[in-house]
Order: sequence, then C-alpha cells, then structure tokens
Amino acid sequence: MIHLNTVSKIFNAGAKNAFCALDAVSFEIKQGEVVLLKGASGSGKSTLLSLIAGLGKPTHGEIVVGGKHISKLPDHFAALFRRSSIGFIFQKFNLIPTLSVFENIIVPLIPSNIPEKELCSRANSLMHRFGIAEKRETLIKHLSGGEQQRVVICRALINNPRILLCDEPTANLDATLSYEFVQMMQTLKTEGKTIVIATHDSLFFDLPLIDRSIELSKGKQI
Amino acid sequence: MHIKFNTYLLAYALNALYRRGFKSFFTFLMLSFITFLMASILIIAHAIKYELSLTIDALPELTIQNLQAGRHQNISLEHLDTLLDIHGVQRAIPRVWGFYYFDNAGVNFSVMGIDTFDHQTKEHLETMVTAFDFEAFVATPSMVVGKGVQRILNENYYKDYFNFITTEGNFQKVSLAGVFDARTSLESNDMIFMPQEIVRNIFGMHPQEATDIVLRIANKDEIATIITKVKALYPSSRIITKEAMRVSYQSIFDYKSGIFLALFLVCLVTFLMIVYDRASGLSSEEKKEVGILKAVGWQINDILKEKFYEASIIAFSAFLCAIIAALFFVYTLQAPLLRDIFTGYSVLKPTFVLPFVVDIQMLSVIFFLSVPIYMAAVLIPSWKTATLDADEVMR
Repeated sequence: MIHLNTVSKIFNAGAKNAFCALDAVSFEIKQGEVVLLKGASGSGKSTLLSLIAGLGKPTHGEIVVGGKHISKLPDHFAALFRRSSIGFIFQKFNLIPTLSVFENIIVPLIPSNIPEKELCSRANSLMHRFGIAEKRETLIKHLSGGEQQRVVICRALINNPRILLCDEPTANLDATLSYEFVQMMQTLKTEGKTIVIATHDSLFFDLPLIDRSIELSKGKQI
Repeated sequence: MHIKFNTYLLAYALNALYRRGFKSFFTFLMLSFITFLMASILIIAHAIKYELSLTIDALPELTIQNLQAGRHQNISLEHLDTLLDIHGVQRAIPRVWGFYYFDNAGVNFSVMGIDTFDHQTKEHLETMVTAFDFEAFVATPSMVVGKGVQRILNENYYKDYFNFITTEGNFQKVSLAGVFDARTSLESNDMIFMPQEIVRNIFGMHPQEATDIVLRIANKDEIATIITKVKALYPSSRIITKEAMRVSYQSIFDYKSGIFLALFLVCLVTFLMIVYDRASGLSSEEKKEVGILKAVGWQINDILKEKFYEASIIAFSAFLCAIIAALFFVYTLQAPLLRDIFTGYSVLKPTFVLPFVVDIQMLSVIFFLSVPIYMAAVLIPSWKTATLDADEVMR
C-alpha cells in the first residue's frame, strides 16, 4: 500500500542552514495496517507524513502509494491524489477558524462539485457519527480542543480515503479525549482503513490497535 | 467539452469576503473611491471637451475687427460692400454684441444683437430668429435669454424684465420674451439676444457701426488669400480665423486638462500603490488558508478560481459603484470642487451645465485601469502561494 525507498528530505538544500529532516528511510505498510511512527520531537515524523501525503517532495528516494509514485507526481495530480486517497489529521488541526463546523468538513468536497444532497448527506452522517451534529453551525474558534479534533477527523474522512495519516493526534487533548480518539481509530481500523499515527504519546505504545511500530531518531530509522 | 460551473467555489469566495468583512469592505471602498475619482476627472474632461468642440464648430471662418492703437474698436458698416467685392467672400455679416456687467450678481452677460433681415452667423441663431418675432421686439423692447441668465435674473427678482443701464446712465427696460437653449450650454447659457437697435442703445454705439464683421467663405482653400486681401484693404484690422480661435480655446482647455492630468496621475499612483501592496503578498492568514486548501486536495486552479471570484466580486462591484457615483457626482451634483478647476473663469460668466456625454471608449479606459490591474494584484500573489508546497505554506 505504502512503500518508501531510501527517502531523504533536506530543507534549504545547498544553503548554509541546510537541515536533514529525514535520512534514507525505507519501509512498507500494507493495506489495513495501523502503524505507529514513534520518535521524539524533531525526529522527522511530521515530515515523513507530509511526504506520504504528497504535501512536499523528498530530496532523494521514492514514495509509492497505491501504485502511484507520489514523489514524482506533478502538483496537479498530487492534489487529486490527496483528495481521493488521503485523510490527514494535523497536529495543530489546521481548520479554518472563521468557518463553521459544517463548512470546514465540506471544504475537501468543494472542488469535486458533487450534488448538494450528497454533500450534505456525507457531512451530516460524519457529524452524527462523531457526535458534533449539534455544533454544525458553530464557528471553529468557539469549539473546544476535543470538538476541533472531531471536526478534523470528519474532514479527513469526508472523501472516504483509503489512508488516514495522523500527526500527533492527541497532542492537544486530555486523557479522556485521547482515549476517545483511540476508540475512533479502532472503529476506522475495522472498516479497513490504513492508518499511520505519528506520535510520541506513550498512550499508543502498547495498544492492541497498533499492528507495528517504526521508530525514528534525528531523521533516521532505528 | 462540458464545463460545469462550480457554485460551491463561488459560495466559498462570497463567504471568504464576508469572513474578512472589514478588509473586504475597506478594499472595496478604496478601490471604489479611486476609480470614482479617475472616472469623475475623465467624465468632466470629456464633457467639457465635447462642449468645446461644438462651440468651435459653430464659430465663423473669419472675423474682422477694427483696431486702433492695438485696441478693439467698433467697425464701420461702410466696409461691408468692399468686403463683399472680394472674390470668394460669400457673405459679410455685421455683428453687434458686447458684455454687460451685472453688478448685483457679479457676472458678465454676453449681449448679442439680432438683425432679422440679415443672415445669422450661427445655426442656433437662425433657429431662434424663426422661433421668436424679433421685429416686434424693436417696438416693445424684449429679449430672449439663455438658461443661466434667466436663473440669475430670477435670483435678483427680475422675473419679467430687466433694466439695463446705458452708457449715458439711462435705464433701458427690456422685457423677457423667452428662454433659449442651444445645443451646448457654453453657446447659450450666458447669452442675451435682442434687436441690434436696442443693443446699440445700451452700449452707446453709432447706428452705422458694428462690433465686428463675420465673413462666410465658400471655399476654405481661399481663406489665406482673402486674409491677405482684407489686410491690404484695412491694414489696421485684426482678422481672426476659426483655426486661431480653435487653438486659443484648445490651449485654455489643455492648460486646465493639464491640472486634471496631474490629479488623474495622483489617483493612478495611489491606486498602483494599493495594488503593489496587495501584490507584494498574501497575509499570513490567507497563506495558511491556501496551504490548508491544498492539503485537503484543492488544485492550484481551484484556488485561483476561488481567488478570481473574490477579486471579480470586489473589482466589478467597485467599478460599477464608482461609475454610477461619478455620473451622479458630475451630472446631478455638477461636480462641486472638481469642476471649478476647469471652469475657474466662470466667475465672470453665469455657470453652465455639463452636457451628458457617456463615451464607451472612456469607460473602457477606466475599466482597464482599475478592474484587470486589481485582479492581477490578487491573482499573482495567490498563484505564487498556491504553487508552493502545501507543507511549506502551512509552516
């Protein structure tokens, strides 16, 4: 499903302040697997997730997702790939604060121009499933951290992606909400989603949800 | 190929403008104001130029004045026959006219004498002579006035007549017989028309004298020769050609329009500064939003379409508002402050009404100076941001 072959990422390559975030990382993730990316802050976990999602391009190496060479995709096709195959849960949520819950959730569907009935049906179904239907018209800036987390999950799932990438998903949540998040991931796993969770939260280390772990340290795979 | 219009993108653009309410409104306001200024300046200049061209068209080909010690004096009517004998001169028409200063209002009226038996020097005079019985105006002194004169007389309680003071200090009561409206306000607004006999009485002119003589020339190519002949006959005369008048009017207009050009440039520079500020980059919030949109699967063209809608809504609405406001300002309010720059000499004359002229070419100039420039200023930085990696933009 996801195949990385000696992937490196150097920021400001060639400049004095060049920084190697990832150094020759290689691994493979099978469809339906839940993989934990472990490592301290600055180990390169977020960078790795960005590269898998096609948000950036590796300096060296190759990334193949679902048979597609993501590292070589032009921007136009990378966007289409993200829209159809990837759901991304960002550490800082990356929601648009001045939009309502409903508006944030449907943002990925806007370019698809699907019928309004279907668009509302998908969004409503997700909002009910994750318990935020009553906050439909509330602006994001008026939501709690846990509620924002659910909106992010709904937004990530609105296009029914095969792969879910989670970057420090519990960083802004308390223990109860973190447990709730784990329950949600458990449900999604049963639906056959491939999930990659990048975190240094020990909560995830011994969970039965996790099929295997990959550890990074200073950009290198341990 | 079937292209389906994406209404969600348009709705998102409207929503984005609403979300950035103050910024959107301020941009709209600034863009409208500057476009309004540019449009007002061009519309006034255009209206006055139109008025000017009509006035110049109505001027006679040659006007002969008598000079004494370099100053304009009345000309003897005895010259008429001699002038008519010059080959190529179709008609020689004496004109009796002058300026009457109305102290109470502090304005000058142009008083023109009419001789119904003679040919008229301008088209609108022919129309007026047909419309009013100037022969009867001799027996019961009466006059026809321009709209501006009528307004000033009314303001000074002269509803039906006016008492002129002659050069000898006597009163000459003249009844108001009608109001005349020519093609252009400049032609008729400050004018008073009455029989030549009454004008001569008011200005103390000899019956065998005129203010000047206008020559009608059949063939325009003969003008230079005729001028030479007139000069030979009357060395002290001054011969004013239509072309000289045109140049004189044009130079006044060009001087005034130079000031307007300076104002126009100030507006344009202000506009370009705003555009430069806009083009120098998106705000951090806008950049982050572009990054988020890219991250959730928007393509560069989706982002550019959305920004295009945003910019179009602002630019077109600002343009429309500015044009409507400028037309209202110029034609309904008569462009207070701005018009005075062009018509600064009007303290000597009754004010005139700007003619309503809407030129598509002029509107196109305003459009191309505002709408596409602003849209480019929005789209270029958006494109720059949208082409970066989403990851980089969100950082």
